[in-house]
Amino acid sequence: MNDLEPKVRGIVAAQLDVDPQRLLPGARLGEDLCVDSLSAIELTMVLEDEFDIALPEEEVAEVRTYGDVVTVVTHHVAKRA
Amino acid sequence: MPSAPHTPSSLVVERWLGADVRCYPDRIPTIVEALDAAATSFPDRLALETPEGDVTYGELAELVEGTAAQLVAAGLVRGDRLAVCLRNGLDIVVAIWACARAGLVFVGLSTRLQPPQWAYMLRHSGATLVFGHPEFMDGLRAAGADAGLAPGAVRDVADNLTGRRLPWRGDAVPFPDQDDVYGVIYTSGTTGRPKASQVVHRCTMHSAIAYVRTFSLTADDRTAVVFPLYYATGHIAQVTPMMLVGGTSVTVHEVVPREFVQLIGARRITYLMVVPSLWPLLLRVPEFRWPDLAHVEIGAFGGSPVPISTVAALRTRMPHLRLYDAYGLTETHSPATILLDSEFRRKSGSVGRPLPCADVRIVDDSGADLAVGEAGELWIRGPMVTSGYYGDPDATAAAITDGWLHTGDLARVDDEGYVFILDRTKDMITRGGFKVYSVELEYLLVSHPDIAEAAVFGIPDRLAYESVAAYVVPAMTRTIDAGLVQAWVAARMADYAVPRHVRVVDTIPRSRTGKVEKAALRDTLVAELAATKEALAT
Repeated sequence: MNDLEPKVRGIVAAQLDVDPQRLLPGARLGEDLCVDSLSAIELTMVLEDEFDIALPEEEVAEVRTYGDVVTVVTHHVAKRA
Repeated sequence: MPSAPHTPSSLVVERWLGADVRCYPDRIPTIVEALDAAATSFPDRLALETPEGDVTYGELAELVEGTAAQLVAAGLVRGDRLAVCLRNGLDIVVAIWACARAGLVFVGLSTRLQPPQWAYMLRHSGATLVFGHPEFMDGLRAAGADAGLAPGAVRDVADNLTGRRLPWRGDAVPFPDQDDVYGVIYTSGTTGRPKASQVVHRCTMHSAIAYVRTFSLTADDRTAVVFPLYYATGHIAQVTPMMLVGGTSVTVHEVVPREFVQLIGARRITYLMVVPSLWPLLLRVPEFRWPDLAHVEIGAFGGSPVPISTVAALRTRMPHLRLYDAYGLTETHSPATILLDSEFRRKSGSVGRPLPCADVRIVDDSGADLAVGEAGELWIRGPMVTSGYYGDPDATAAAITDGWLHTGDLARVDDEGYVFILDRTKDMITRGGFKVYSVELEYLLVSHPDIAEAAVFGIPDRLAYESVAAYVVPAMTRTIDAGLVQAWVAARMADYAVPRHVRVVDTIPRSRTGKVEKAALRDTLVAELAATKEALAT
């Protein structure tokens, strides 16, 4: 994980209303965190707003785990900078 | 078909559910005769564009005739139930019409549910044969076994519904009666078990005609069917109206916003009917705009409100789009009221006026009429109201009296007859267009050995309208956490029903009469979540 991770963790935990300790890198959004498609879209929108980035649909479609969320956000924040 | 709107005075009075109701005159009475008329009048027009292929109305009639004969040959007799678990496509359309043609009852199993829910529906409906797409077969076989069906009764759909064609025989095979039940749709229920709302030809045809006339649909129209066809909207608001006018239905398996916008453009869709939560997602796709999509003329939705900001954004991006807000229930076969495009500004927040064939009342707890502007329960009467719940006379008697359907929704009607929904059924949560019944979920939660009490309710959600929240009290000497609660539900219900917000508490507050104080719980949770987000922002 990286410097951005704590902020991502806080946002994801608040948005999904889950205990931050459940946000392990391998935690699967669907199976482990019970994120349905609408929650996933909302989470994407919130992350885009918070980090002022645009997450392409095709990349979001590949996100499976909390670790993937951190990776894709980090990548786009770095690209923006 | 003429598209001039009906007025109540141009309708004819007929008896339905023991009451006089206004009906459309000279109508096609059943969905089978609607197919007959289409296959006769415009056999070469394209009826369906599906992943399995495109078919004309003439070809669709032949498929329906062949499949109906095959079902009869398989031993099904009039009144038998055929269950299907199918994504939108050719198979499910043929299944619905073949059941109607053969006098069978179509039982739609939601593809989003889990085997225990399917098992209940199979048992309750008494289905004797089940078809499913391959991805659902493991769960369907388990559900079938649980429901006591022989293994051979649960089959991969393969080409069972599209493999045989016979020349359409028109009225050489007797048409059904307009008051026959040709399907059931499970609506979940306030008693903890789903209720099977009966789908009746008379009701479907009145709703379909209402859509044709209100939206001025013509043979040039093409609609994208996103709503699952095992529910009411897809086949009643889209496929059947298209059949009446000779238009085309394009079936869609799954909505990914960008791909869907591309489909809308590539398939030259003119009529969109989607859940309210989809509009903001479509607006996020830059290509969803005029004039690229100038062919999209009708934008309809229902089930929950669309925020004013979204309507305003649609007006800017798609200025030519005519918007309609249709209010109805499964029990009304889709619409009972419709807010017209021209009325959005003047009657913001309303779901429109009743259809010409519908009557509405606002009543108090004793069933007495309330004055104009007063809030009470909305009752609806008309030829679109279901004849009842399959196999559940008590629920039917409680829900329908003298032809009036008790919606359970809190509403008021203004002095011009516009209906304003103030609160959806207290025990129902609307998540993106899907319905979650809190009582059903509470029953499931307390069936967990470690949960003693549960209270389920909805809280506002900016995209999905509502999120599911659950408060649970652990059984004595037991512990439980949010993850376990979610996993318990996820294994047994659809993903949209899994509580997003779970709180494990010592007690659930109740009123002096023992009723759970859900409003207080809702207020507490909303405040807590807002505080969390605020703390995060600072």
